[in-house]
Amino acid sequence: MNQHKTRANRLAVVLAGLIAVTVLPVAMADDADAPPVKLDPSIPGNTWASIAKLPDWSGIWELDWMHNRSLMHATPPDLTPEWQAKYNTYLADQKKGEDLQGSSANCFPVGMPQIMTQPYPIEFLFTPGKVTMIIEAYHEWRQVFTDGRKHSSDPDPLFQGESIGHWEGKGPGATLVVDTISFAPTNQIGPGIGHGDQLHIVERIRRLDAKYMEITTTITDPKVLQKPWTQVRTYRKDPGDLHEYECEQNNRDSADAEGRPGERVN
Amino acid sequence: MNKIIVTTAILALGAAGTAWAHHSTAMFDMKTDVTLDGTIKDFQWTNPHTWIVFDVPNASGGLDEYGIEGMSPNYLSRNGWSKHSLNPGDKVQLVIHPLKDGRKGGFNVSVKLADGKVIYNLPRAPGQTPENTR
Repeated sequence: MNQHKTRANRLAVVLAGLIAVTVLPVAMADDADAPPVKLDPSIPGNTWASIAKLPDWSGIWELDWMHNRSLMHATPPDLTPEWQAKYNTYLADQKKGEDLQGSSANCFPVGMPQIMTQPYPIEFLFTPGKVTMIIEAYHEWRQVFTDGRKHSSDPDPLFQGESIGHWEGKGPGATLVVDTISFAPTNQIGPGIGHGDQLHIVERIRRLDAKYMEITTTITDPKVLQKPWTQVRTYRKDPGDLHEYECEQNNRDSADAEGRPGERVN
Repeated sequence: MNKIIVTTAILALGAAGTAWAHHSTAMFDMKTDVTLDGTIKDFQWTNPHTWIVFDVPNASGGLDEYGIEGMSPNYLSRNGWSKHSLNPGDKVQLVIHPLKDGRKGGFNVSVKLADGKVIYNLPRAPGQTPENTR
């Protein structure tokens, strides 16, 4: 009996081993999009020594909306007829008191690209192979892989999308180019404007001088836009640190199903 | 009258759209200023908005309670406000953009404190820099 048990155990171990041998390579193949274990030191930002040569983006950066307002309106999106009709309906609904509130009024994550245009600052962190953006609004964050990897073959839809970046140029004005795909279906490229599955966002981020940063955002979406929608915005360096902004703390003006302001406003 | 309605040409900040973190301002009449004299009942120093619960004497000798929404602590603390800026019992004068639906509430524009000092919830006009607004 004991011998049988031992034999059975041995068999189980051998079987488990066989399964591991057959299954593991498949699992690793699934993981092929993960970064290389050892970062290529020739790619800017992959080593601490090369991070020291990147431009100084320390501090916190806030959309300079006081001076930028007209700029934001100077480049309206060129919508496809289908989306222009939807947008017209959205504007008409607003006149009826509906759709006054977006889903962020209920603390639903904003995601890309609108998370980059909130009136609160952003902090950029450089670590080997990655730029992380900590966004004060809604405590959202983005990670931009700069380690040389390509986009995943089948990325999941995410609020922030999948961002792959690389550095162009050298010195204080070097540009971080961020290429982002694969967005959550609920994301909007502007108030009342959704997106298709081919939404593609390219950001070019550079420091202009001691006080200002510039982000040029080009949004391409063949199902929603007739031509790419490019926006240029400046961000100013703010004193101090990031603050807390937890939306669920005391949200008295949440929206109902039709986007009407909530009951607790008064 | 403790209530003065003034329609002004103040730029509707809501038009900036993306400048508003949390929600649209479409529920407020951003072109109208209403001045209210009353007493602070509660000041909620919370995200995503601060709230002033404000008692305003009405014509029938009672009090109307207003809910006044303001910018959030992360914004206001960068503009000279703190959790101690308003306290229950303070007699102040508020300027608000009223709710369009007639409920007693609105968006905070500014607060004139008992000592005459005015603190602003929002930047006031185009051309005004954040620096001189703060």
